[in-house]
Amino acid sequence: MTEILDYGLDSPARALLVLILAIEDRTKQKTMNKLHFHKAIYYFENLAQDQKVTFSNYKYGGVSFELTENMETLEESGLVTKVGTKYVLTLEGEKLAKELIQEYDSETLNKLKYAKYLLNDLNDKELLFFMYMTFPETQVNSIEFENLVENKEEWTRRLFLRNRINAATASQWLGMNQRDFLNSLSACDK
Amino acid sequence: MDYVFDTSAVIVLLEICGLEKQLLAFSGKNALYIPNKVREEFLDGCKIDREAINAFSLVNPSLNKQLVSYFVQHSDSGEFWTISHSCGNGNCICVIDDGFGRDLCGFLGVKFTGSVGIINEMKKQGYLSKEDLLEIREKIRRSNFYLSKELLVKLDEICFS
Repeated sequence: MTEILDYGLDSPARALLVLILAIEDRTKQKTMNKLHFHKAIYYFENLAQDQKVTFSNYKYGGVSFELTENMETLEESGLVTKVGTKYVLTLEGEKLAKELIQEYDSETLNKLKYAKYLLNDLNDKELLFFMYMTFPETQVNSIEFENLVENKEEWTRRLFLRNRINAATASQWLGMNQRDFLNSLSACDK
Repeated sequence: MDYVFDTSAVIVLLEICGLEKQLLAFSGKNALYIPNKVREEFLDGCKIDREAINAFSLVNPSLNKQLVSYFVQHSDSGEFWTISHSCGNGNCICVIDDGFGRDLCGFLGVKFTGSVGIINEMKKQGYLSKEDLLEIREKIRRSNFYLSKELLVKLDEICFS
């Protein structure tokens, strides 16, 4: 507990960063890049309906300077290191993450796992399209949304085929009924 | 066994494969449920006799507050109510073809199968002959309705085993 306080992990933003880096995604990877940890924590907070981190709608949708600053602090403290563009926990970070997990209830941890499971292996454009469409309020100030939405059929189809959205969501995004959406896929996917 | 069906599985079994009679017979030994929302989604654009849906018994699952947040946009989808029913009835297996719903069931530890799994079960319990199975395979392959490649491979295994 003392170490958790020493490293400032009583701060929700910092604790969430350590926890999310300790979780494997669906491809068994733990590493995350900057865009993905911002989006996964944004998604998690909506899933948990508990807003503890401040986000603003900026060029790439919902981002948090609080998360960026805290990730830098974790790097400086030696709990996180950067490999290329991806962040990963150090051995000390992994050790603290195990202690931190004991402080959280299983439902909260499950939702954090689900956010990473759903989002971490998407490429940047798939991820941005998913987030802009799921949380339309984040389209404000976006520099990418207009480009992405030009090919919304393709992005929606890809997200459906990668099991990230259901047919109800896909058909709503494309303004058609579910039967028509599912029929539209078969020609190219059988 | 008890099963609760999502809309796309009902479309595959009733509309694409035309298994109304076989499902009625299957329901003699197995409970086949659909939530109201699935019935509504099936009837929206239904291309066969609307009475066919009566092969299934209607249920009104109670709202699962834990589950609702996993459907960030669509807690009103048939799939949400299908999984909700299964969560509240541990022995009831979800019948879902949609990959998102299948992944979510797997993540939450909810038992699930798909329309192809039901065809396999109907085969095992003697409700489908070899000829029926080959006809089903042909109907699914000929239809425009989407089933993942993985499910189509499973269907082939069932038909030719």
